Amino acid sequence: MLFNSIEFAVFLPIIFVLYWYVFARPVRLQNALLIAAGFVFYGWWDWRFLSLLIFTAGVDFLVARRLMATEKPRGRKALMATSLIANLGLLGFFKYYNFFALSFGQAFTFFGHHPDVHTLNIVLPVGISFYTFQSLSYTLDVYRKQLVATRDPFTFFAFVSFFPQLLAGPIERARHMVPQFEQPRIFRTDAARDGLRQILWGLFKKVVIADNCSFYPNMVFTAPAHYTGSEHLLATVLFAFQIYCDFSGYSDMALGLARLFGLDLMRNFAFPYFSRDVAEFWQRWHISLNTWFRDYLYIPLGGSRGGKWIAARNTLIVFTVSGFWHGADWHFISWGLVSAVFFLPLLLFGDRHKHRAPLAEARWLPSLADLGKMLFTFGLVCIAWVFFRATSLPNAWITFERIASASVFTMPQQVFCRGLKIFYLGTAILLVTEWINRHRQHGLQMDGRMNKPMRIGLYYGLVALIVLLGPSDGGDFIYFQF
Amino acid sequence: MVGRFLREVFLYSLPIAAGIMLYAFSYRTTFPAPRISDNISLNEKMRFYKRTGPEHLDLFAVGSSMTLNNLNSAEVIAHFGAVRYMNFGAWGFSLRNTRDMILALQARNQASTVLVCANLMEFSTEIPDLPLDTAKLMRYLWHDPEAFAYLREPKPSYYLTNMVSNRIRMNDPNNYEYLRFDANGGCTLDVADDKRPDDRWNKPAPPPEAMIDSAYNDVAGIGKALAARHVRLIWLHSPFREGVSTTAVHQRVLAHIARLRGILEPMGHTVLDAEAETWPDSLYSDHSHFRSIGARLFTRECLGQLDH
Repeated sequence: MLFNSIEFAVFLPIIFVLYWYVFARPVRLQNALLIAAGFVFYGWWDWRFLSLLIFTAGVDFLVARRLMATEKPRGRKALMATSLIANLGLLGFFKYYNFFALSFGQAFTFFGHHPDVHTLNIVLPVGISFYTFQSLSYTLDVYRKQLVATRDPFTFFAFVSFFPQLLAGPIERARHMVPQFEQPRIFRTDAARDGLRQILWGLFKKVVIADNCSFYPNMVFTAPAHYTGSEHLLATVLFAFQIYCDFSGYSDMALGLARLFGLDLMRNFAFPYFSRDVAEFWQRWHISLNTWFRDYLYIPLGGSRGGKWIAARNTLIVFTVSGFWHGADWHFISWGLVSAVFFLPLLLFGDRHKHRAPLAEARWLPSLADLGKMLFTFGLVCIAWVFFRATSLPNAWITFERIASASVFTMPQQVFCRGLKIFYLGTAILLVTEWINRHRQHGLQMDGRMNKPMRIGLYYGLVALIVLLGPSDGGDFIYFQF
Repeated sequence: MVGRFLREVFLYSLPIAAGIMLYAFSYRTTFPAPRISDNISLNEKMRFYKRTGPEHLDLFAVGSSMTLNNLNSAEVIAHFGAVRYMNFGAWGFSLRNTRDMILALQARNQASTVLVCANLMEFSTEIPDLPLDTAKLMRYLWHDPEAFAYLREPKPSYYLTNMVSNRIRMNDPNNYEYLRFDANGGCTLDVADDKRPDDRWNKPAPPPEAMIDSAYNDVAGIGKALAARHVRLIWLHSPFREGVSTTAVHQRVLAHIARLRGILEPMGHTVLDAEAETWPDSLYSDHSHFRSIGARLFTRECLGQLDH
């Protein structure tokens, strides 16, 4: 079920009313409803894969209970290993089996052997990378004694299957969410109103911007040899906005929905294209995944405790694993490596935390220096996006070759077609609105600054744009495939 | 508190719902058919047949816009007599789509004759296969109530965009997207000269390197499946306009028709063409789509050959 579908528009009010009126007390009943809602929401896509979700959560719940019962280091390690094998084993099989089979086959071929490689026609269960990491964070926290395992399976299953963030995050931390599911929830009108605003803003980004421009990168990156340098350049910039509006749009909707149910999810995006360097960008982009890797990979590897070079090694590992998390293909791994290459100079030369100060505070516009830095950072990020979006590594090189050729000075085709005209309008609204709200939690947070008629006009205007300008064939969210 | 919030949301939503309904109401006569495929012309055709067509057909036609626009319904009826006939032609149908559609329709209709009108374009890369879920189409035709089909395909922006476009499609016969069907599902195309883009008018025949050899397998597949059901296939080859049909193109077309005959005639089917005649540019709306008068003459010319 997609957030931007009629099915969900029917599903949400039903669950909302049941949640606050019929299942309001006790908290266990409320959690049971959330579990049922999560299962329906997930099963709408393919009910058979619910078994994976239940298996993952079941193993982690039992492992955590056993971890609470034992103090022996060997026993605890064995239990943790069970959780890791169950979670990463399933993820590895469904997401990476074919990649490893083909890569080993190619490696053997390189040495003159021709093994008979079997690949499987495996369907990737939607959201598996997200809920696996989320569930794993629970056992890891209990193992490290940073969290007391819950005794109530309803609490834990509600945490893993909470429908707003089940398919594409934010990847929540058990420490943050499990206590919320254990407490009775209180409906706060202001939070719910702000949640609706955030949903509206997410929907605008997804439907008006991402869905209207997606055809162009799809067209160019699918058959890169047929397009000019200028078309590749345009497709790359469009993809940068597409993926931001698609993914942060989803996150905005997830956060807004959670607030309707009296729960707070962690922030996933903090206006990343206003970053002044790559380090700041990674503090603002897909925050839940990056902090997950920081907490459960970077720090256990030693973090920055062993000096700059150890920190650089660990950073390289984290970015590579992050690329691999996104997809079982060399172009995703290259995306991670390239991102690391852009990040490492800041780490090695001590500039990593330079831009922690608020951007253009008490000013309407950024300084020219800040604007230059933002554009430069955006350019670097776009270079990395080429690896991310290309369908293969050779195709990514075709894009760079074309952009470096004289054809980059030609007029791109379809540059003023309907979809892109809507994109230009939507992006102008996006940049202005998010710039104004750059110090707030999301693009449409109000804080009573605007008078009521203007506010209502803005809401209706956005609704009108969503209804009238959304393409008829807008579809899935990009991050569902991960 | 929750109740107050819900009341607030409801009140704010009312003008939106009312606005959308009023807007849709103003376009009620051209409200699009349920979005059962990505092809608007097919969606409209399916609704047209669901609403007006007889459940069983003696004769039906399937294919691309060649079938939709170049096959004149009045001439077909005049030739075959009082038959139950429907033209299922839709924009952009490839031969694979045509085959799938024929098999799906034939399973229910048991017609005795099937018509396909095509030219070289369908055998080239210019007409790729459309994603087509025939099971979904048939479920819509025979099982789902129309309102239910709208609920199955809830795409507000599709309906809102196309109800505006349909006002032109349903009312302007001088438009390339004209989609007002005659009683048998055919559609004329009388595009005014000043509305005709040069690229459509001057579009050449697909070059030899753009031809897809496997398309002939689809033709054989259609022929074989229909022969097994004792259904006669009549294949009409539609000519290019005179200005496009150079000697080289003409020779390629003749070879193409001979190949089609070689595939279909041994199965008991018929291939008709009008290549012996000259088809002046004045009969055309573009390089291959006839005006209504051209479609009438072409259909009469081809079907007339069946009498000999």
